Amino acid sequence: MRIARIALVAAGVGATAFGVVLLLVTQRFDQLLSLGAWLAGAIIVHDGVLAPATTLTTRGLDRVGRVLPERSLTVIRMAWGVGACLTLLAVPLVIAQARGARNDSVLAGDYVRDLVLLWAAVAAVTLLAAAIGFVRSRRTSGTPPTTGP
Amino acid sequence: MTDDQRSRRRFLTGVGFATLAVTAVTAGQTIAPLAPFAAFAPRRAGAGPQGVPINRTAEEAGVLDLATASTWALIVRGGGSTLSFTRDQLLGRGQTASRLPIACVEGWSTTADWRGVRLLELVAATGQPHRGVRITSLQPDGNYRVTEMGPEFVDDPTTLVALELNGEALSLDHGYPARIIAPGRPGVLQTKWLARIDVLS
Repeated sequence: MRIARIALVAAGVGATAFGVVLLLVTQRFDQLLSLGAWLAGAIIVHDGVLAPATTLTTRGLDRVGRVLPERSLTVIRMAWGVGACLTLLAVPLVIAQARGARNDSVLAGDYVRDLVLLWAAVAAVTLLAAAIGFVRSRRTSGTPPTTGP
Repeated sequence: MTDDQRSRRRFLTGVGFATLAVTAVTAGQTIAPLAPFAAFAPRRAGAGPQGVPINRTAEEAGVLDLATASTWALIVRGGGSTLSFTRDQLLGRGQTASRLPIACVEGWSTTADWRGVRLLELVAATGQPHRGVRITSLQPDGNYRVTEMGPEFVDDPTTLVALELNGEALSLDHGYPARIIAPGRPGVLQTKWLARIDVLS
């Protein structure tokens, strides 16, 4: 296990170092600057939007879901995270579409409909998984799991 | 296993599912077999004239008049000579088929069937040994109006002055009367609405 971890870390550090060297050698300074801005944008969207939104809403979920066993709650938290990421992808497309596409071949999808469908699919899978978790934890514990504080 | 470990594993599993979901709904804009699942891609496979998406239309580029003019001819200059080819003359030369992608730096790519004259044949017609070419488009402005292509691309037998796309004459938005298609170059360098090719020495 230890050796495997060391090997993984070494491979990761090596690949990253190779990528950085390649960037510095092949890209102009202004290109590196815009890459920096792009990467910073990703961090801002994650730390400023995605993480706070999911953390706050998951707290709320936890409060409502106290009656559920830990397993089911975990499944719901995961699903919420997946849904949040999908929503984050869809929002810029919906905004861009509302502002008008450049031509007919750009932004050709019905992104709102697809987002609704994907949320429905996530909800269906979650319901199933949470139900399985519920049944299993009843079986293993032998007592109803509704023993909230 | 401690609660901390369990919670970390659950978090990482959640991240894994989210990554899978995000990949599944976006990867199709460049990986053809996943195209039906590309819900959140700005481009749809097959959307656009002749089954290939468009970034800049002929109207945006301001080439509508020049590209449809009956006087259009492709100028090829090199070795002190200036050759001129109308579209019919280009069609009358040996045609080559290439299956090549348009790969946009915006993240989408679409492979298509192109037909036209090998760029190398037109360059050879000037009789001048080349060290690449300079390509000029009909468009009056834009960052990529004039571009240069290295000799390795010119020598490639699949590099074409393309006249047809997916079995039909190029549409205006795809670069009618003639465009460049070469392997391994970003989409912005696949110059549309060709005006002139200068052989570099």
